[in-house]
Amino acid sequence: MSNAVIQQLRRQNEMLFEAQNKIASGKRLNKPSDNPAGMAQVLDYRSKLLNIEQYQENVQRGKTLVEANELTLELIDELIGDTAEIAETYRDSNLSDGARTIGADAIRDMYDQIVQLANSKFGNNYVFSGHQTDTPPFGHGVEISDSGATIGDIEFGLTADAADVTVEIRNANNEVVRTINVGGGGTAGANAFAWDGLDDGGAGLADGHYSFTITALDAGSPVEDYATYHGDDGEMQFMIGENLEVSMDADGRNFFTPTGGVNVFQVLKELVEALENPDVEAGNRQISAAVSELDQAHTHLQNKRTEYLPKLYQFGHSDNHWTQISQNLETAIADIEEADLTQTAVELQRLQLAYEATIATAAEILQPGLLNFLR
Amino acid sequence: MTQQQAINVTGNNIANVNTPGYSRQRVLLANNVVQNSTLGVIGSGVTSLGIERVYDRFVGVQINSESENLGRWEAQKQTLEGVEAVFNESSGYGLSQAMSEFWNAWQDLSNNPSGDTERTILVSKGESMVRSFRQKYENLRAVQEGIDANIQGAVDEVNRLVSQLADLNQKIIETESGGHTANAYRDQRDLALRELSGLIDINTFEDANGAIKISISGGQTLVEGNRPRSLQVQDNVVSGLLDVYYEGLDGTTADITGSIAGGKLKGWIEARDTHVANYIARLDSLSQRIMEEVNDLHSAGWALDGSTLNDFFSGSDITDMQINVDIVNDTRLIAAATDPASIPGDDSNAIAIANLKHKLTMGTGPDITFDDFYHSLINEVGSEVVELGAYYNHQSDMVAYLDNYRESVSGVSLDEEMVNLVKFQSAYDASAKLISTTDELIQTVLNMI
Repeated sequence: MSNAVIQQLRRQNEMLFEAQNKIASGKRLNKPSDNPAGMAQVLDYRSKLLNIEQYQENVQRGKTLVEANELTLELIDELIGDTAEIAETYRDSNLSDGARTIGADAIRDMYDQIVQLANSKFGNNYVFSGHQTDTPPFGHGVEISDSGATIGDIEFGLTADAADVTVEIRNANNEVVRTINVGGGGTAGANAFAWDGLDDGGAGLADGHYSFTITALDAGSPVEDYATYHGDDGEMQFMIGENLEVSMDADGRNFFTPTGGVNVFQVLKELVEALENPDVEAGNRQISAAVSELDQAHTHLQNKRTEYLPKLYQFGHSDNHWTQISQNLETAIADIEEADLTQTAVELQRLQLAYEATIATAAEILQPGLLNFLR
Repeated sequence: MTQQQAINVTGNNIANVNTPGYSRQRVLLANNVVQNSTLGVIGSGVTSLGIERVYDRFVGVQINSESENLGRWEAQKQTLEGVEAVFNESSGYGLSQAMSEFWNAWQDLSNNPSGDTERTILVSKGESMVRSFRQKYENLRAVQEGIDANIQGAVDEVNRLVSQLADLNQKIIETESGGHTANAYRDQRDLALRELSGLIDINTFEDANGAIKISISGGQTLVEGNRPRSLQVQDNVVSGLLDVYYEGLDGTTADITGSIAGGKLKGWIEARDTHVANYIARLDSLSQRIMEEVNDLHSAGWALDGSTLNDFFSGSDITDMQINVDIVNDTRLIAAATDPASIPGDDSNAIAIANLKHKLTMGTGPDITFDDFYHSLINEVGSEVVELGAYYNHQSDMVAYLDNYRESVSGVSLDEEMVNLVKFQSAYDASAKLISTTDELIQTVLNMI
């Protein structure tokens, strides 16, 4: 009998401990055997939650990028409008050649600013160079890599044919390390030629990024050069769900030099040339042509900007969607995992009562024996 | 004299009230040989035919056989409760989370495919997943080795009990050949048998001379008469774990690991070779599939330095799984791109690898994801612990019931003994009174002379 009592007490003790543990941890799921299927379910939900957190992070990142790009394009658009305005002012007020040079310089500065904006980075990556995120999309630059084995071509655009083209290659400290006179000069539009990657002394240049400047002359009068595209047609992708990605155009050409459209950089340099044209009449005609082209560029940029709108909606929707789902999942986890405190407390009370009753009755039953009465 | 003997037996019963396995004894009282007299047949008092123990042989055998099952479930339950701790991810951190974080790190990389930070984080998340796999494996392996220590201990215990039983057989044969019942030795033998049956399944058969023959499921004899045989353990060359061998009288050994059918030995062997081995195999196949799937995509992709055909994981299974050392040393070797011309901005390969989380890669078909596979493993561990807990509780109820029954038959009840004591004392008193009355009568007769 005493064995039976001990066994009962031990089992009741175990149950008391379990109930106490539930209350202490606030969870009814403390180990897999508490509810094996529930445990698997909880782990599954948790894994989904972690995944959703990541999707929401991706969405956040995508949204930030869209907003940053939108801002960049807006600024560029404004700058383009400003240049057109300046050019028109000069065209309509018959200012002297000297004053026009000032205008040309102003537009040159604005050109530089636009190039800089087109070379914007998000984090460490250029946003308008496709997958070539480590290469500035627009500008004058060449790469030397693989210990001098791979040497990038020198690429640049010219507003007109130029018989005489000089390239000055500069290192990171902006020192000229090489001067090349391009035999045969260049033609209007994009130009590219290979070089040997050597410095003026004939020694190989170290790997790295080198910038260059172009001086182009035709029959003694200067020809303007402009930046060409160095990226590719890659798109940026953001995972916003299972096998679901939002892609965003990252090809700078589609923004600033669209096929069949206006090359913003070329037109700006043409504008500079127009303002510097000693023949004011011809210059004014050039300005008018350029301004109408800039107007087209402005329309195009507006169109590109509206392309961002559906992306923003997509991000916004998936963010809401995931927030909703993660709330549902958290509720589901709590349902499985969390102990109902009131219920557990009542259960504990009940177990305690049973335990005490067992002890009391056991004492009653075990104590009296014939021995007590024989004394 | 007879009444005194009865009081002695009662005293012995009382003294042994708490001795485990003790069966209460009683004196068999009988009429003494009758005497024929001229007046007729006169009884000549009482005599004791012997002292027998009150014992239900059937219950003894049943307790032994239930003890075998109890030992089996107890050993399994204890082991699996230890295993359950290895798989307890209720607090959150565990392999499940490590895997999720690993896939998330690929998504992070897809957001910034050339990012050094993202790459370093990916490697460290990968390492922590690998560590989690290896740790689980090592913990399960440690459980198996712990079981081996138990098996070793149980085999030693079996050998000790077997030689004790052979010894008791000898003593019982000797005592009972003199016509007495070897009550104390039989009680001791029953106790030893019960202990033995908790360790290994046994069949017993009692000879006419009182010795029992004990054999195990494989048919091998453990004890015959006064000759004990022994068990031993040997390392299994393949698994590195212990096998149980039977050593015959002629010194030949036979592997009985698979034929043991009950007791703690069975429980441990079953837990080690069926349950834990199954968990290890499942974890191993999970780790292998992850390595294969990731490596397939990764080696087809292109790294930041323009190289391809790099594996992300090295190793062939869970025992030597790790992140490719070259990648650990140079995170640029992580292949996030699918197109060599699109380095460094191409994140397609990172996206493809991150999507492996949802790919049906496991099971026949394959029809379930990595997550599903692992979560169902945890479900299985939990269910088995629940199941074994139920078996164990049921079995211990059963044994407790039989124990109670045995106690009610063979156990010493102090009340009963006290009643007996009073009874025998009164009888003794009465006999003494009789003697003194007879004495007085004789005295009277003598005084008449």
